Amino acid sequence: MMRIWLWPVVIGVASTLGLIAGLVSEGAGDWLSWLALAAPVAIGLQGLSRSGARPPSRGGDLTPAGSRRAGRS
Amino acid sequence: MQAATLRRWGWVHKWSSLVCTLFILMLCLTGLPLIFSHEIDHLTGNEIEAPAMPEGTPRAPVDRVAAKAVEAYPGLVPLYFFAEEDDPDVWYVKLDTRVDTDESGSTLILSDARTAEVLGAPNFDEGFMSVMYRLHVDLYAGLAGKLFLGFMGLLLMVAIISGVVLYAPFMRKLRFGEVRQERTARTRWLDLHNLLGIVTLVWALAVGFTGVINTWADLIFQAWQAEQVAALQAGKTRVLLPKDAGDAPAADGSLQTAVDRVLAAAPGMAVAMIAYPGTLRATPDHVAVILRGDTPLTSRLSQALLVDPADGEVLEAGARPWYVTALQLSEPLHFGDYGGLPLKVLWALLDILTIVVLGSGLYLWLKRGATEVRT
Repeated sequence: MMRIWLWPVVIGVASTLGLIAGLVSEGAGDWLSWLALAAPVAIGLQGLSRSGARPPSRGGDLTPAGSRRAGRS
Repeated sequence: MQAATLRRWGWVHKWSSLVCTLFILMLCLTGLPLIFSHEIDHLTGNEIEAPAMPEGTPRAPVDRVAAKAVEAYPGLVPLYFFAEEDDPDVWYVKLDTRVDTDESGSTLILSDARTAEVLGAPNFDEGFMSVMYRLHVDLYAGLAGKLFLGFMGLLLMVAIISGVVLYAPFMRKLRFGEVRQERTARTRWLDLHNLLGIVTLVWALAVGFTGVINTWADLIFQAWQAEQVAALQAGKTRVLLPKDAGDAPAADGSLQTAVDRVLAAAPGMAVAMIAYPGTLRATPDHVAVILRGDTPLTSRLSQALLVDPADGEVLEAGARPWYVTALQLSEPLHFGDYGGLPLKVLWALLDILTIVVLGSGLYLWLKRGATEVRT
């Protein structure tokens, strides 16, 4: 249970903090909100790049990771 | 979790997602440029700006701004003046054929707050950004379109929550963030769907739910107006500045004096909006002056005061109801416009990640069968 939910809860708390911080204070609050919301973005983008998939805006199946995988199988 | 319970949640997730996915995809795609609409208008030169003048140039009375606007747009009457927090030299003036229309055919113009001259009308009705805006807000179908998109947003909430319930059983044998490469493409996309879904969870819930609340804006203002009118009729008002108060300019029937009396009654506040009597935001007999505070939070939460331009009495018809507070907090949380450009960039990236969640969900449904939920 703990193993499954630890990271999702950490990211959820960071996102909540990020959404609220910029709203209640200017300056320091803005910085806090950028840093806190960067957490889900960074983990998400990292997951995307590891999977070999690219955001739909870039498209294309022949990514380096994709061809590596094709070679292995 | 029991297999039967899991199947039921799976059913809820599948159908709530399937019904709303295409609309939510459309909302994510059209919302992407809208995050940057201010920057895009600025770059494409669509932004209308007031000419530079020496600091401290006196402002024209709002009555003169209204008169100049009506002169430039014969047949129309002014409904509202809006003031942007960061652009004090400009009034946005909304005009329509009557004060009590549904405002769908209204005209918004920009006037110079110092000279009262009309600066121009932003072209909201044509062009790429206008199409994006209408698709995003009401599908060109007015209130019905807004409420429909709001319902799709509610389905998205159901899809997200049921997705969270399904996250644990899918992740039992996996580390956080693991994307299995060696299996089929469907497994890879399933892992990615789970990962991106769980990391964007709070943002998507916040932006989705505040979007739903924004679709109810018209209804919320109607309810608030009805409440204010009822409070006025019942005499349940608080007088902030009596008719004969000596320390404020005496009422002379003009809008500017009425606004000055409101500001005298509410020190430390700035005008966000002036609504003419009979409009949705005012009452039939009073001008409503919507004020904002000067801190990041209170600048979002406005206070509405009513003033009778004829006798100058300033009233507050009940405090701001909770549902108006909810709407006012929903706007920044949906638009992501409260933390400068870095926050907008993060908003855009989270939006793109959400598009991948939606697209992969659709893909997983199309390729279903191979790895259905097993417990």
